[in-house]
Amino acid sequence: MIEGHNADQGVGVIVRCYRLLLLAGIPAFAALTNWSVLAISSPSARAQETAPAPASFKFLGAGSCASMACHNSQGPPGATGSEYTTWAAHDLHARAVDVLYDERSVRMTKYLRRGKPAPQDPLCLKCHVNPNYSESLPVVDLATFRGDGVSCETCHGPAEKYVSEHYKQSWKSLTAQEKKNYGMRDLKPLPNRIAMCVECHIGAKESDVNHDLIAAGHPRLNFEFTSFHGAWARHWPDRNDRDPKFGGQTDFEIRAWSLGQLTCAKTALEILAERASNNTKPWPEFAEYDCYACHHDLVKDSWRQKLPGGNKGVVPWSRWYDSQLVDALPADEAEKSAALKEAIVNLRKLMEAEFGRSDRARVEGLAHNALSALEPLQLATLKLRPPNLDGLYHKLLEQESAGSLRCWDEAAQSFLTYSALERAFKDRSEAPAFLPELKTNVNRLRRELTFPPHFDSPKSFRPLGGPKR
Amino acid sequence: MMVRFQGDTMFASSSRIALGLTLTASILLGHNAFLSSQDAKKQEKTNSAPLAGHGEHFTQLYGAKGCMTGCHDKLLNEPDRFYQMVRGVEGTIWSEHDRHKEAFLALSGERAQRMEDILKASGSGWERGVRDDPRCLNCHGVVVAKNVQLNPDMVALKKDGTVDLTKEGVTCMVCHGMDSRWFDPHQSLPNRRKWRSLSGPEKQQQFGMTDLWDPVERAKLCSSCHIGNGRDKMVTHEMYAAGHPPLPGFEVASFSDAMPRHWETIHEKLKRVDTQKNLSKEERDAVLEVLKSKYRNAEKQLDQTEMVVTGGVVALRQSFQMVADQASQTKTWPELAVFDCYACHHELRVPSWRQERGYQGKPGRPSMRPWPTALAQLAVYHITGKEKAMEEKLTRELADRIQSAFRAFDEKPFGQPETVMKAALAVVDWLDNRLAKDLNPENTASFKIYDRDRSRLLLDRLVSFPLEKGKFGMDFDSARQVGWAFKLIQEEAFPDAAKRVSGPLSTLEKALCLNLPKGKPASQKGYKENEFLWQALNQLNNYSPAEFQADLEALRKQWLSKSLP
Repeated sequence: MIEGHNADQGVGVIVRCYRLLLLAGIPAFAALTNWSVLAISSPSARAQETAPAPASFKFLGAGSCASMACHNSQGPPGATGSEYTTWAAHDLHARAVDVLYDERSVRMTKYLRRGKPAPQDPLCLKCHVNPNYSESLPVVDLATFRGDGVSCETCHGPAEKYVSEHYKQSWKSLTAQEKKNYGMRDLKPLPNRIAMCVECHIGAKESDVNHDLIAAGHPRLNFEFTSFHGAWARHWPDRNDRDPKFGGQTDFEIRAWSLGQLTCAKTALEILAERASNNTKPWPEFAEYDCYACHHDLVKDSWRQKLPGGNKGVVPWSRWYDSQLVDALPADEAEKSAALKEAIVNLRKLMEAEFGRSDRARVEGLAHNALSALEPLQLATLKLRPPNLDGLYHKLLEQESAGSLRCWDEAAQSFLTYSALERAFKDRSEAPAFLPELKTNVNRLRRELTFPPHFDSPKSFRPLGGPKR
Repeated sequence: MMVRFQGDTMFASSSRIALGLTLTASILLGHNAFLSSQDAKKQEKTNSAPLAGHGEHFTQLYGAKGCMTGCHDKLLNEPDRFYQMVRGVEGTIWSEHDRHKEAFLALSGERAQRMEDILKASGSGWERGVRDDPRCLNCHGVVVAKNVQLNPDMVALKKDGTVDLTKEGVTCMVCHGMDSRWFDPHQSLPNRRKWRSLSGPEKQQQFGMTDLWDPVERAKLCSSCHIGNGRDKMVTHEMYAAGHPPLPGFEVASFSDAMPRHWETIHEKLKRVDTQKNLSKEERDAVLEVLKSKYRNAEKQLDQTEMVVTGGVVALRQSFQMVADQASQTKTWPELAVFDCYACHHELRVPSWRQERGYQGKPGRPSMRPWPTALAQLAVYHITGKEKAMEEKLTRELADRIQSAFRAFDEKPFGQPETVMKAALAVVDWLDNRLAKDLNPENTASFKIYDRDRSRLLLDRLVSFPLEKGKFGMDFDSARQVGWAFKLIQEEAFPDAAKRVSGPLSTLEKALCLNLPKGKPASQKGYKENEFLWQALNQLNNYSPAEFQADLEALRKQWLSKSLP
């Protein structure tokens, strides 16, 4: 009641976006929190394989793709020829820059003493428009380009050279590398696609959503590839991803989940290393830690004190990017998995035992150790063998009964894995006997995880499974 | 000079920090005025704060049992048997109503047991358990060295001959002086006149009896547990996490009143000796003489008001001293317990008043608890009265120092410990050297009596506090400070309830849980957790500065219309 006394005037963007999200029918994960949808922003150009060719190519703006004869044929979402139509009408990326004009962004600019409005601030625009954004970005019309938000060229690359080529018959015979020379990125391979999304949805050197930003009002970034990919109003037909006849893979979903877990963990570690090594950045970086370990009301007889082992006041390093990680690894990579697990355990120890006074160089070192342990898993290639679906399902059940879902982040990742499995089984001709049980678990976890109205924290969440004190 | 800060337990703590720090050194070796302002006369005191069992003169423990054998065990309904200076009901009130008596029993409760289990597994040396660990006992009872004499007539003992803390709890000596020299002289009939002729500081200096008539001593003593002293008395984050209830913002005068108070205010005392039938004129005059030796206009003095004002300054000083002490300990810094609990511990709400309100410094950088800064300004108003120029000067000097301390917390997450320590000590230094001398009744030239005119002025200022602080609202604990101060000062200045502001105040009383329960009912046997604490925490969780601002505005309007002649 007290928090909500000026709800009429104040809810603003959150409620608007929350409605949008409901209208858009975004399922599963996004609806758990009142925030997730805001996290949608632009892809990046960091990963080597997705980097646009010469940066000097010009960006022409989404308008250059909007001819009715090309990508704006006004068809249904995802229809070939209606890519622009789908993006403009259904894809929240098209509105990414709009939020920079709202009350929240104005406040953030003020609190963070940015000195310029968010719609002109490169810190914001590097995700809300284009990762290469700068005042000197080669672009036909900067104001229009900014206004398009995360638009075609943000992901596909600057169109100057390929705009007049890519519809020709000869274009089809070009290799990915040859297309790249025209400035177009190859987004069909999953590794490329995921690597592009994470640069904004998890962060990068110059687009780091740290605790300063979050405290000022930015939503927390908690990215899980398949759920975002699934919720996204995609502007291409599903068969392109899933049907071998159209160049897709039958195990697309589980591959995407598995590769997503690995790539997200890798990106999160890279950001940690950057945060630790860059002396101009805040340290300790609170965004590295479990948000809800601290952000909860203090109450009498907290369940936290009644957990086995109680509450020792240790601030836990976030479990978001590692709680499913080991399960995402192929079973025949036991040795590499163990090495990775150990590297992460060591990093966690340091982050937690020396919370608030951990040595930046040591953290950076251990983050690099963990990255080296990830390296042999060949993230950038398609060689990754995704885990067995049935086996993964049983691992999820075991996790819960062993009491490993101690915090919201762990439980949410478990939920997202269940959801990914549910989608993965759709790609199979035969459904397993436990599919109804799996669906029950998805619904149960969704209920447990959903934030109460007017909260952006899991006030009602309690650890799942395991022995109770 | 060594003697001075050895004698002063608070400064003893800062002596560690002092090494290599010229700023600290100047505070220590210079003119550490405030807490030691009256120390010139108290140089040899050893136990001004209840540093359980450490003083060399603590050779025998006189427990509540000793105090309540024939002296401080009178019943409230027998006023004709009261003594002169005191009533004799002190032990009775403590024993029947005061939760300090139960402080040790709390360590046997369900919560304490849970804490013990958690702490024992923490690897931080809690093997002794909560009922035996000085980290608990220093506030929940008393630590008695082996060589201290225990006389079964004087202190409740267990079968094994050790102190039965279930009956003694935070016992009389803890506050009145852990020193065995004052017990006999203070109760000896033949020497009564001589004992009474001694001043409070003399009793403290020569006999180790804490001068609780000195509001600074009293505030310091209470806050050593209720805020912590950053050394042997400190609820750490580890202890909180294991289950220790969050220490609420502490307003010493209101809390003392709710113990319930077993002593009289000056007014109550004057009224009593005037009407008490078993006193002779000579005995009455003797009491008046003692009171007047302390306050020139004793009949005008409002000592609750003085306690509020002094307590506000001491809370600020002790909090910053604790911050400085902790910031000097690189192995444990950041000790999360010195930071604002509710900077981090709150559900994330939509909409969020924190984000709507904005941040004084950088967003998301936890600072120290803000409530100790809430009332210190009252002292400036009291000292300067209507001298505007001086008021502005002192206000600015205080605000600048507090602000730079808060900025130090902002520099990086948790602040740079060296900068935090320096900035915190600069506040301490200013309070000690600038503000303290004018608050000391012994500085007769500058001391201003706390009379009704002053109370009125303070109340005028209190109702405008958040407005003066600009748009930036107060947190729950700070709002409570303002509420408690207003309530108590008004009650004392306007004994006639009809002349007080009531309606808007009762709104605040409910919203902020200002009506502290007066101890416990005599009928309640055994320890029971104080539910009020949790009710207040619930209010805190649902608090909104904008609502407080509106409630206070209503109070302000009614107060101003009422206070006009």
